[in-house]
Amino acid sequence: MMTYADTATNPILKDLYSRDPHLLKVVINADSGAARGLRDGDPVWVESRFARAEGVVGLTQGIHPETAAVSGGFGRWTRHPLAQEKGISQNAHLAMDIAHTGMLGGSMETVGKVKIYRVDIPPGSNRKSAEPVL
Amino acid sequence: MARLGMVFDLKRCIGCNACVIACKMENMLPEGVFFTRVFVEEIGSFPDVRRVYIPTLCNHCEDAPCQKACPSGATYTRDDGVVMVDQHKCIGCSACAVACPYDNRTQLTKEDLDSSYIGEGEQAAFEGSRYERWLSGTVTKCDFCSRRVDEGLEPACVASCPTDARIFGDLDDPHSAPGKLMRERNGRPPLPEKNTRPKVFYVD
Repeated sequence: MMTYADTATNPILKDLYSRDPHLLKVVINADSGAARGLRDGDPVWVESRFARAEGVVGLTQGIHPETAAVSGGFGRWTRHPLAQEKGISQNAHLAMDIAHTGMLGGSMETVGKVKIYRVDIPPGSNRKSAEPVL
Repeated sequence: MARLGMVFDLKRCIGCNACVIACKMENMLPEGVFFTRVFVEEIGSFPDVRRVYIPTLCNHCEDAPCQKACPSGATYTRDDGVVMVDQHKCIGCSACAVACPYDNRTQLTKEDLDSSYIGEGEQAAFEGSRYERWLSGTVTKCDFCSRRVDEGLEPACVASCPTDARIFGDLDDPHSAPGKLMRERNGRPPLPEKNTRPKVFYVD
C-alpha cells in the first residue's frame, strides 16, 4: 500500500491511509505512552533542534519504548489538495548534509533526537510546566 | 452445480491491502465504501509482538440473513451460490444492512455518488463514468466480482493478492484449490454462532 512519496497524493490510497491506526501518527510504544499519560489520538508537539511540528499520537506495541517514529512520505510541503497537512515529515527533524544522505536512494539515512510535548502545554511559553513527556 | 466460495490463508496474508484497492478499482466504489476490508490486530507486547491481518468480505451465506430480511426480493442467491443484489428491485430500506452480522452491506447515498476523491470540485472523468453502475439509495455489497467470474476470471481481490492468501473456487469439489485447503487445514467460518453457514472460510 505504501508507494513512497506518492502515497499521500493518491486519492484511492487516501481512503486507506486516512483510516490506518498508525500511518499519519507519531508512533510511540503503548506502555511508555501510557506511563506518560498519552492516549491514542492525543495531539503533541514533536520538537528537535531543527524544527517543531504538531502531530497526533498513535500507540503500538511494535516499537521500542524509547523511540518515536513517523511514516515516510507524509507531511509534504505541497499545495496538493490531498497531501497537504497530512501527517508530519521526518526530514525536518534530521540533519540535512551529504554525510547522512543515502547514496543510492537520496533519502536521509539517519535518526534524530526529539522531545515530545503534549500540545495543551505550548513549549517555550512556560518552560517549567512544559517538561517533555518523552 | 458449483458452490463458489473463498478460503483465506491467514498465514499468508501480509496486510498489504492490495485486495482493498483492487476491489475499489474494479467496482469503482466511492470514498469510504469498502466491499472488502483487512482488519489488523496486535498480539503480545514489546519485544514479543506480532500483527495479525484478517481480511473480510461478504461471506455469501447459505442462510443469508440479508436475503431473509429483504422485503422486496432484491437480494437473491444465484445457482452457483453467489448472493446478489438486484439494484432495480432494491427499495433502499437498509433492512439487510441491519440484518448482516458481518457489517458487509453499505447503502450508497446520493452524496457518495456525487463526491469526488480529491475533495472539493468536479469529479474526475473516471469517477463519474464508473459510478453510473450504481443507483443512489440502494444497498450494495460484494458479489464475488460476478461479471469477472462469468467471464472465467478470478475476482479482482484474488487476482491481485501477491501472496495468494485468497483462494477462490468451488467448495463442493474436493480437488479444487479451496476444497483441498479446507480438507487439509480445517477451514473455519467467521462467527459460526450466527448460524448463517458462510461460504468464506479461514485457515491458519
